[in-house]
Amino acid sequence: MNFRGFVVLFSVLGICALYGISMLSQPADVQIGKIGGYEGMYVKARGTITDLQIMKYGSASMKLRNNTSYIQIFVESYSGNLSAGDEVEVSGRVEQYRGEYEIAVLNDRAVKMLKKWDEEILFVSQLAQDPEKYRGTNVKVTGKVGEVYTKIFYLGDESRGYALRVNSSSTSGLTKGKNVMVSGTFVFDSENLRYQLDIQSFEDANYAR
Amino acid sequence: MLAELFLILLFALLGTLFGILTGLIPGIHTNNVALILLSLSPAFIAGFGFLVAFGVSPEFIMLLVAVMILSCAIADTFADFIPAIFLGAPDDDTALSILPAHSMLLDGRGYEATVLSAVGSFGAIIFGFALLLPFRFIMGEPVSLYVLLRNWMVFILIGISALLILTEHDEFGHRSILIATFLFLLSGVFGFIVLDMPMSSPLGVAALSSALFPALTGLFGLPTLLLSVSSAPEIPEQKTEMRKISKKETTASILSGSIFGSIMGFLPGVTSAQGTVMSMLARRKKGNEQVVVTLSSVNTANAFFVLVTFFLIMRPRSGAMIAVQQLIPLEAWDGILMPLNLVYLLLAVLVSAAVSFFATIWLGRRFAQAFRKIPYAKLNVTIITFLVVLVFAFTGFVGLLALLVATCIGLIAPMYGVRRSHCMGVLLLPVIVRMMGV
Repeated sequence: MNFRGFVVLFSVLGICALYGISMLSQPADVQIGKIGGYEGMYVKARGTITDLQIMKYGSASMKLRNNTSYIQIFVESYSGNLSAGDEVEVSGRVEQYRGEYEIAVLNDRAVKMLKKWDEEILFVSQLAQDPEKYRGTNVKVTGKVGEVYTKIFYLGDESRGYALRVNSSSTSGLTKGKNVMVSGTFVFDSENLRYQLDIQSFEDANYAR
Repeated sequence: MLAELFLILLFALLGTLFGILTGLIPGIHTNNVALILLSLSPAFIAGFGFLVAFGVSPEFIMLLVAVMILSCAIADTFADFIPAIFLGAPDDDTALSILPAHSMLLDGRGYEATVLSAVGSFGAIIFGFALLLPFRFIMGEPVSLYVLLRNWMVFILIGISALLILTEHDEFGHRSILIATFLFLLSGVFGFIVLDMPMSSPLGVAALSSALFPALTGLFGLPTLLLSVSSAPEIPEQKTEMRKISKKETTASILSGSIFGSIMGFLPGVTSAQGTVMSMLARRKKGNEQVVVTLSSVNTANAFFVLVTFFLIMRPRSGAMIAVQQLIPLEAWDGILMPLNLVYLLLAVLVSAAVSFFATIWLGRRFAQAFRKIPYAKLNVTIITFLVVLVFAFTGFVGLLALLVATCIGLIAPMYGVRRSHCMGVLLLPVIVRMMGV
């Protein structure tokens, strides 16, 4: 074999060798809390989306939470398929942005949907037991309507006595004691030191008899 | 205000000096230089801490370090053409493909190539300043061409790749197109595997342990040097006078290089290498002189426009900008008036470009005059050794293997007589595949 043929053969064999090494050494999944050790590398991380923000020029920024750890995610080209509360697997490169680690992904196709937020129906008691887990995410909650005001009503859990404040643009059609299912964003009201549910719009709220 | 301007000028000169030095070292990419400077920035900040006693705020000291890094990046794009011209030239009779600058060197016109590259780089800076406001309004609001381009990005990249391959031609028909396709895909598969591999620096320099360094050194740097060593070319006496070149053609080359350099500075996953290829295709069959001018203007325009892009979309597109963003607070350029930090940084760019222009020409003349006295083959062997040691120091044994494989892939182009730009598949193919969400 002449030298030219050897160069081609060695290129192919070398790529195969590198592939073998990459299979052994590449992190398949990375824990969010340990992301700092992977700077510059392409990683996969799983978690729940919180604090989703659409930015100028069609980019998006969000946080990915897994248990108590957070990592910032930057989506270069965002087409709007994600929501806070979605459980996803993100594939991207670990970078530093203004001193903080983040995973930069090219577009939201690099974000694999594991579970859409509205696939899970929660009880008020579940929110009450671990509110930080759901903070900043969209949730679908079922419960019994408590006190009803013009733009506020309370969603209760009869057995445990919990009452979740729900902000809505309108409460017409709601009566005390009715069983309902509400979709909205679970947020923390820092001024009044309480958690509450913001219904994004009256039409979006799903009331079930 | 005068004191601040003086400090900006001083730090721009310091950065320029450093950039010229790093530019003269072959194989050291600007991004690596920026990251080295960033890792040294705490020492710089501590070292210049005494300025606080003279009323300079710590924030301004950080800005001065950013000025130094940016000036270094600009100067590097001027000076790095000198080793590119004078080193690694193959034997004209045996090489199937030869770089335009090497072709000029083998004609005894290495100095002329240096001057042309300096003209291309400085011209890109002039055009950069002239295009600053149009760029702001075309790429940013209200035209928002950035968003339009980004939505079509995957098709643009596929188009660039296809254009690269289909413009190969030879007397045997489609043989070159087939080889080019093979080389592009091989480089792409290599990029897919190696760019995501974790590399570890034996020196513990995590910021520099990127697989990009061995990959690009192997694909583009070492093959040229190895062929030069094996073919032992006869480098003629270098002339230090200039031939007359067409001002119209040169202006067109600078303009085309600047435009492509500016676009590449804006798009994700695209480097000045792709800009160079596109610009070269636009300016093809224009002679070696114009190719040299175009190449230099793309590189420098890219370094210039990543700065402007940084203040428009608040995202870094180069190593230098990653370093700068760690140092200074960001303020978006939304209106007509620029943020003050951008004004300071542009001032540094201007100073650096002007100094680098004259320094590059001066150094080019010295290189040309002293060149015959240097044992060419030994020099190339020394540089090869230096690059291999550097790759090992930054990326370890895995990096060395990546370098070896990349060098073999990089040798395919000159050995089979196709353009080595097909090796840019190393970046293009992974970006295309990921953008398609495969």
